[in-house]
Amino acid sequence: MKKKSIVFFLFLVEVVCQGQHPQNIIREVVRIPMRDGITLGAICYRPDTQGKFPAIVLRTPYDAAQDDTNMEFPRKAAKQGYIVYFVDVRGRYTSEGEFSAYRNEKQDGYDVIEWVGESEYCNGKVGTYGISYRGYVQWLAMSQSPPHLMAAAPENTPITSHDFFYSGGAFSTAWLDWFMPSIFADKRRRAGDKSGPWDNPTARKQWENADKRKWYRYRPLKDLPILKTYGPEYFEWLTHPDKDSWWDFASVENDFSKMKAPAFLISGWYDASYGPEGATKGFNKMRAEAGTEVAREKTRLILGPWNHTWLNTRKTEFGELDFGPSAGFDYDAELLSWFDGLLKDDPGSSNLPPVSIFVMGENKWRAEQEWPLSRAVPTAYHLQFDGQSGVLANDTPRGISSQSYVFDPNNPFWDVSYLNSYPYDQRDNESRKDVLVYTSDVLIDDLEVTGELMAELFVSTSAKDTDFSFTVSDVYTDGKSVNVSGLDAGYLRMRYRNGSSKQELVEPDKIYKITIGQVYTSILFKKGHRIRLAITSSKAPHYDPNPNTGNEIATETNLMPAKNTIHHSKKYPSKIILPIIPGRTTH
Amino acid sequence: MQKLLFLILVLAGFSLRAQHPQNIVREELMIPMRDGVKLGAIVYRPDRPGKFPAIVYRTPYGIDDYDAYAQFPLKAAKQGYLVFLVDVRGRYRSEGEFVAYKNEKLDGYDVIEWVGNLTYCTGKVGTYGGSYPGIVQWLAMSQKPPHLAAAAPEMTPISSHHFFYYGGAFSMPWLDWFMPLIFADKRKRANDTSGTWDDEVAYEEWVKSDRRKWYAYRPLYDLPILKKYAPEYYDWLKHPEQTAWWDFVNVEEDFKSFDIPVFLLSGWYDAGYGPEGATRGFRKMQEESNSQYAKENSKLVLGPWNHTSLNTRKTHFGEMEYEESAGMDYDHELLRWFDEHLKGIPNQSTLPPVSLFVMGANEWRSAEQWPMSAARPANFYLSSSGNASIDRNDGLLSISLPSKGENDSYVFDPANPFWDKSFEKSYPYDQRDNESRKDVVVYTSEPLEEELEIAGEVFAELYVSSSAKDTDFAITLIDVHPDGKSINLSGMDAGYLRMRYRDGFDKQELMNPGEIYKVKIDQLYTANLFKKGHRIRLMITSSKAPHYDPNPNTGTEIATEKNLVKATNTIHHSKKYPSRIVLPIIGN
Repeated sequence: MKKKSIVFFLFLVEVVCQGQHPQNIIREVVRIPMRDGITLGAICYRPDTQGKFPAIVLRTPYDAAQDDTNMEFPRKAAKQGYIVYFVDVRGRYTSEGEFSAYRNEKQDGYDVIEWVGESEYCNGKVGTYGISYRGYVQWLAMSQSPPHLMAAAPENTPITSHDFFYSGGAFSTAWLDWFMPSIFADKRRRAGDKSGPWDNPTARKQWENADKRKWYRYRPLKDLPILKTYGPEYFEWLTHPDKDSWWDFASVENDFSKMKAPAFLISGWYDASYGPEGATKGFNKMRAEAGTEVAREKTRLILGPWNHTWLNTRKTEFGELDFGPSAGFDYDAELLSWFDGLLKDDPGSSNLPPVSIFVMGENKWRAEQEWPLSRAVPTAYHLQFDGQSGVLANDTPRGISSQSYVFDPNNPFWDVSYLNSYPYDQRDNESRKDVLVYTSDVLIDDLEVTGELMAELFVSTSAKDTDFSFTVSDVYTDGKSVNVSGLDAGYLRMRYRNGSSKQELVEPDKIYKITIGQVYTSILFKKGHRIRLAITSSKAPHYDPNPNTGNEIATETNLMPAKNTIHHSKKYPSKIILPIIPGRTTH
Repeated sequence: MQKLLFLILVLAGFSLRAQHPQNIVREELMIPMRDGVKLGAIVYRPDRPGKFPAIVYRTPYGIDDYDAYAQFPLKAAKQGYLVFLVDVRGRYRSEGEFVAYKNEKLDGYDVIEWVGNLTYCTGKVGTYGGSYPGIVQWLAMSQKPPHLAAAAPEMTPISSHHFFYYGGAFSMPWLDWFMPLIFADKRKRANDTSGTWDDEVAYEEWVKSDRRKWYAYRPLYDLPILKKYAPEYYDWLKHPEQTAWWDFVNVEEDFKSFDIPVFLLSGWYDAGYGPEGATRGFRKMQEESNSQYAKENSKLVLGPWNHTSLNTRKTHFGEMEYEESAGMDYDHELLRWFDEHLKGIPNQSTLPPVSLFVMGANEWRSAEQWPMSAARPANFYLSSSGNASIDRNDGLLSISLPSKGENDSYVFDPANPFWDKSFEKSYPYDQRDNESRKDVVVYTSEPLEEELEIAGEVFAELYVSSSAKDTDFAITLIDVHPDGKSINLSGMDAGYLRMRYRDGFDKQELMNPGEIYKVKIDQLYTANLFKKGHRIRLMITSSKAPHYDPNPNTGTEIATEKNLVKATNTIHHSKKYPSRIVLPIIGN
């Protein structure tokens, strides 16, 4: 009897479902309550058919409605049987409460995911996705182990809060380019403050037309007037340069055992430097430490020839390079395939290997099982100077034992690609007096470098503190010299040479051995090309140029030139270490 | 021996690493036709050994231009398809001479077979594309290429006389085709520097030119600007009747032999031939195809769209917002359908046989057939006190026959035709300005007491007379909103009839001036929910410029006529002459 009624019931459902078209979706505006009574505003798309569906959540500080207008993903996903929530984070746009960057995203993330997981139309399985801030909030939510979270795609984002704000100990002045065009319009609107625009497009235009260099150069950093009213967190970040427990409010690096959902991790060789750093470290920590087998096994890492943007199959050229037809990525389709396997009760059709890397130069993807590649051979190239030219060579240094330059923080190295990093000819940059260049011989065979590039340098400075940075470029037969990663990668503030958690000033003119890393790439240097290392002491406006005084950075107003020296003698063999992939010889 | 095996495994492992599913190859090649002419093509294919199904796109608009922005070829290649983009004969990279539509049957066969026989092709070939890249697929199908397994001819007709001619009137938009899209490459091939070789410049120049002058040029046959590079235009003009001369572009008689499934898509605001071709193509597949598989797996999709490509954000155009369901992830839906018929993976497409978007309700409806079995024809009769031509509120639409006989007359002057401002890319817009014209009459229902849904083909059966031996009549169905806004429910070019072709497109029969004729005007397709409080309106007029050449009203040969004379045209409505419009009503 019972069976019969079930059959009858199913039959009825079938008849009703015939009237339901899979292309019909519903868009609703909803409010999601947090544990403290604050409600967040969200846009929800869901199939207009009966049944329960998995859900996908995107949380944004950039206006859920604007994200909705710009993206096809929510409608694509809803038409493929997902519920999609675009949520304004606390204190932004349609959400109540006060916005404090990154402060509320752990708890709110948990609360949103659990509310969605238990909502009427949800099958209880929730995934998340999004890039940059929208990516970091996912790691923060994952650290809280929300039971309904089954998959997350935190793209183009770090895993430690400190990495977001400091790189190698230097402060990311790029936050100016975040607050001014992307955050303040809504802050003013909420405050009823008519001193500036309330909409982002106008704010963005105003900021683009502003004398930005003036604000980048403003000292002391902690008195920067334009962020005072609405960016108080900026000044907190500034006054906590050391990586310590103060940063725990938004750090997850020790929480991976609490992460139970697999991650879909994307970054690009030209992403902001925290991007590939976060994706690769996140991948390895997920594989080693995540709290479930599925999280350890289904996590995916994808590193392509991209910068800090959303992807499509036509994302194949930018800057001065064309990476060929394979370089793009149908992100929406690939992510949905991966979600299908984890959120829907079907096997899923994702055919991505654990690690996908795009080898520039060869312009092909390669499937890998690990990162870094264990077969990579760390190979040292020593710095030499023959009196006229800097040389990179495998044998130990000879020639002149050091080279010096004067680094003047009033006239720092300026990266024209700083807003959205891209590969470009570095010859203008290399011509600067404060840039030292070391170039290999012409390669007699193809040479693949894949992994983290490290510089092991012996340096001294006339100052008590200064910065060093390196960039590797691919020198073409015509002399064009193209950076193989974003220029903000590979940076060190000397006082943090022994770790970012404590400051140790240097003794002027004493020689220190330092290691600079966090430059990630995969490139096939072609036969006939050369490898070039460029060393300098600033990367504006990515980071505040070091005042070279040794004083507290945030309050310093004096900027002093420093004479910086790279040593390359037998005693002080400075070198760059490249992870070379064997067996790529084609000739 | 074991060592060798190990070495092979290591090597295999290494090469498998290189076989990443995201790796694709782009190549440029030439495809030989049976007569030795070679067509230029770009192919995207998976960068790994193996055999893959192929998808072919043939276009006269330049594969390089298409390849500069289209996502589909790269998406498909990354999902395991070979994708061939082919310049049709005589265009861009291809050899030979371009004569519009003339070579597409045989060349279509040859391209598909050449692709299907490639060693890295599984032998299953599909085709896709809209408009000209759509009709070339029907034309190829008519040749029954053995490797063709699925086709997606979108937004395209199946016969000459819903395309070159429509309701017997000549399609003037050919001017808007040759001038901006075809001639730049023609000049380039002829090494003719009298005009630009660049398509973008050609487009800009044409849009900025005094186009009305050329639309109004008479006689049509002497139009100077197409003489040099579009001789086919004048051939088309010389053949107003649907005769065997048009066989090069007609596939109506070929459906019996069609044994592959088709994915047919058009929009309520597509060019008039779009929904006509899609719906009739689907119906003929169901009724005539000799393959049960083809019948069961063909799809028909009609949305609130015009003659453009689709995505999920295609929800708003003209003055209407169709809301979140109205768009479509076309690339995804088409690939899932190809997965079934080219890869042989069952149950990938979730689309029902027929998908109709009902405007107003802003929802999709599923159906098993076209016309929808649920549709019931309902008559709405025209009536007025005889002043509909001077008073917009005089004409009535009612379910009951008119109580007294009347008629509405207006003077149609072909020198000052009805002008559709949406002619370039059709869209829904407030028709009140158009309705204010002296040569337009409208018949409007009372406000609806309950909502009324229609879906399907709308037609009018009108009793008309004219002072002329020939003239035109055109209908438009309109949803009148409570605020008075009057929105067309299909493209303005739909629903047109040249009187001399009232009994068929294969022969002319002039009228006797003053005699009342019963005519059927059809080919107007829509799906709309008239909401409570809205009104149904029928608009009638005698021209739709620049869609069609305004009738000179002389009864002479159209192509060579240069005199345009006025006609007094009359709509009759009485018990004896029950002019009506017939709406396909869903529900009660």
